[in-house]
Amino acid sequence: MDWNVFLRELHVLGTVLGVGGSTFAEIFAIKFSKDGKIDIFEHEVLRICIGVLRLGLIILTFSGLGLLVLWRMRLLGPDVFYSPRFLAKMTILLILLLVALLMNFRLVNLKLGSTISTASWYAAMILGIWRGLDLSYFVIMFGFGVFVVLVYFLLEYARKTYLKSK
Amino acid sequence: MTNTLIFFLVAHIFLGTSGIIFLTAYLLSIFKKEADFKWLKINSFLALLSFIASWITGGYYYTSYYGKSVKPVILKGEFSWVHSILMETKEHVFLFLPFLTLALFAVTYFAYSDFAKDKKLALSVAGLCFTIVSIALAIMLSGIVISGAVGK
Repeated sequence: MDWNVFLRELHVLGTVLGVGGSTFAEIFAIKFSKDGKIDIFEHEVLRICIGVLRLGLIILTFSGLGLLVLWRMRLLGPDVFYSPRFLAKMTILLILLLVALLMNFRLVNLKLGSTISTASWYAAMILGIWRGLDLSYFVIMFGFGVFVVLVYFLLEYARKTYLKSK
Repeated sequence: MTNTLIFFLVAHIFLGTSGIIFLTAYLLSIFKKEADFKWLKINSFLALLSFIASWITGGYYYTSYYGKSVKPVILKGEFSWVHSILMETKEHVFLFLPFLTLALFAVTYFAYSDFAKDKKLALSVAGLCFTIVSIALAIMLSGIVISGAVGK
């Protein structure tokens, strides 16, 4: 197995852990919100989900940087490094990190923060898969903004529907 | 590029990123209700070691390869501003990181027992840590943009 395949597989693993961790954190957060309080067991479950998500982010970052080194060796240059899709992925990764810090210091509403985090993970995954995407950076970021709003309302709908059903 | 240079470049990136991760972990745990000061000390120490090692490996790569082989290519190309603005900024601001991290480690090592009592001190330390993480992230992003300026 060459470095390119190894790093790509790690990159996919990081994405899977991140998207999976954030999805399950949302699902459990909705489920646990039923009685309005988080007990020790529920806290532990959410902590594990966040741990998986953080592990995914670390794997994703290192494998991504490894791939960048390979691109640099092959002199792929501005066509790849300055492509709107790549720049948008980097921006979303930064948003992910910033939101994690803001949520930690309670500087952002937890519901909004977790929505941005989940939407960012899915957006990064979609951008990674959608290789032929031919849009400008600003259009992609605008699409990301719309996606965040959609995810917010989707999670709100899921939360209300679940609470009504119980 | 020789294997040694590739090793130094990869080590420079790996160590710098590790430093950011250690300090982010520090930042995420400083205000926990039951903050583990042992981990605050370990994280700040590992970040200090990472930045010093990244400094040395990056310095070796810069002086023995970048200046002779990469810089002229970037300056001749369409994105010459990448060197004249980003690299020039990166190579100077980069000098601050180990010293700022040393200050963070020293405060954590000698005054950690006051963090829980003195919220103002804890907030200032968190501010210092956030500043280091922000600078390091900006430097990392600059590195990516600089790598992107070298094409065929």
